[in-house]
Amino acid sequence: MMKPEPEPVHRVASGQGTREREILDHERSKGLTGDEGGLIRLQSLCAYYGEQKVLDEISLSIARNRVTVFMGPSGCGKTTLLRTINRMNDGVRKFRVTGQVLINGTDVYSSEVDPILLRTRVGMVFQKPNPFPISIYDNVAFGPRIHKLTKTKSELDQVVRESLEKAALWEEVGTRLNKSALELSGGQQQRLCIARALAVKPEVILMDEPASALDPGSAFKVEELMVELKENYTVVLVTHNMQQAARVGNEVAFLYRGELVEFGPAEEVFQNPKNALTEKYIRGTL
Amino acid sequence: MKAGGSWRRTADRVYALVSALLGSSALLFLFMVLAVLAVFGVPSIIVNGLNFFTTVIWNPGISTTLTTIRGFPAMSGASYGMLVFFSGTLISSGLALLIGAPLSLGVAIFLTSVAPKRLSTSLSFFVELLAGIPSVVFGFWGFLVLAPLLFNYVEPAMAQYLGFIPGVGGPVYGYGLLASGLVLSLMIVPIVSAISRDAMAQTPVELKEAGMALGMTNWEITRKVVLPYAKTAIIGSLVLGLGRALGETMAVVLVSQSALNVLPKTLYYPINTLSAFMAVTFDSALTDPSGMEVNAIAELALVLFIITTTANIVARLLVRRGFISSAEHLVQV
Repeated sequence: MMKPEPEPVHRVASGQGTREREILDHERSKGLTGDEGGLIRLQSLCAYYGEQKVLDEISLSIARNRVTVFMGPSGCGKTTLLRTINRMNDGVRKFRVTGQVLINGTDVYSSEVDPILLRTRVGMVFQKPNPFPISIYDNVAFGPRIHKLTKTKSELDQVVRESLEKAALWEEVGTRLNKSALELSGGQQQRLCIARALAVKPEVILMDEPASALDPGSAFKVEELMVELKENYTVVLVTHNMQQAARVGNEVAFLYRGELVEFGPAEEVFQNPKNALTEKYIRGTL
Repeated sequence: MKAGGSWRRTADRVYALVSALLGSSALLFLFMVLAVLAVFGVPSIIVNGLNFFTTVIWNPGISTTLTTIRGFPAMSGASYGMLVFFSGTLISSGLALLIGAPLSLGVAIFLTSVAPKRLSTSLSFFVELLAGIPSVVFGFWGFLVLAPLLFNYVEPAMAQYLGFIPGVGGPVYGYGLLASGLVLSLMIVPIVSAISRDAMAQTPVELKEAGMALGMTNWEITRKVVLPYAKTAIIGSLVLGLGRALGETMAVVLVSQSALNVLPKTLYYPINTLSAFMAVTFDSALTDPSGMEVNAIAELALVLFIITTTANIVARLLVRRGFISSAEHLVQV
């Protein structure tokens, strides 16, 4: 399996300069330079629900400012894999993980990592749009308020506006921020959820089939957005939609029954799959 | 076959008729009760007028001298004012809500958001079991354990250290307002916590995960997502609990010290409530030769009926609206 050669891009997201530097410093202290090892590295990751092993020895590396796709048939473990990255399954009974999930060289499952803080750096967007039943503004401001990221009202206004702009929603809702989020269409709600995640200023955005519950037009907008977002963020996408994976993915991981079957640059995986299973899946005969 | 068919049709008609009769009997009973209260209450309403609502003294008069007031017989010197019982009802129930609400919400929050599933299920069972304890048993416990405890330890300490707060200083009695409020608060915990828990448990997991993914702690998710989501139903459950406290009789009879002709001035004062007073006084009222005390008690019952019915209607509207709006929300998402 080839490791992707990440682009040597060190784009500094607005307002994230210091954090980016911290990350780089941390990398250096680990004897790594730049993105050599990837922003996120999974090492021999196994996950269990009780006795049932749902992820088997997954090792892969997710590069900064790329869209990395986990694809595979239902039940292959792709969502579980995604949720190990921000420890969303912590509260699930009998769920446990072995191996490592390294972000900037730190294992997120080590005792020194606070899952609450981890989740402010690794945001998440879900399959079903899940805005809070409050105003559009309050939805986006929710995270910044909880984490006291802003000092003044105008600062908060600014964060809300920037986040909505980044989520390509500002033009549609800028004049009605005080309206309920539930009045928006499904696609708009999903982009609002993306804006809400961005407002906490994460480095990584995990997306769990974010377009699968949307109509084709809205789904396309969300796809476009993923490509835009990778300029400033690292996007990890779970999907079972191969066309989507091919359109937006830089790297693609194909999972089957909890195992990583193939991982590589999207073009290679789709045009020249190395594994017979991958080929079958792509042809729709798996 | 034909005969069988017609028999079945007849049976079906009988079935419809019988179930209609039985079904409407609830309404019938309601009107029967209301009619009795009205018939018995009218003489008191006419004789006592507004004084009934504004005076403190309840005095059936001198039992040997019969007079006539506004066309109805009454004992000379009779005076019927409900203020002691009315205020006692509202204050003790309000106190019960003040103590019971945080307790119930704590229980509900623990059951839905903190306790592991297995513990939550078994604990829920015990909380609901609490609802099945007869009120006289609560009263018995209040009489034997709680009130003496309050009198010997709690109230003296409160009066000494918190006496600067109006209504908290002064002599202590044990049996009285505080004891009544506490016993009532325990009695409303099951109903309030059960309904709140159900409403909170209906918070869509998607919303909780949204909060979790934003880096919220469990407490923040409970406070900022779950509680706002269940707000209406929680308020409804509180009013329903209030309804129960307002009508509660036996427990209050045992711990209130059945005050008469005196309004409570501190947290410890003996009190009386509409229902407790009715239960205790009815026997002696039957010996009133003019019958006016029975009429006055009927008017008390009418007042209590109106208070509790209003509370229940408000509560049901709130509880229902809470659940309906949450269902709508689910559809929209």
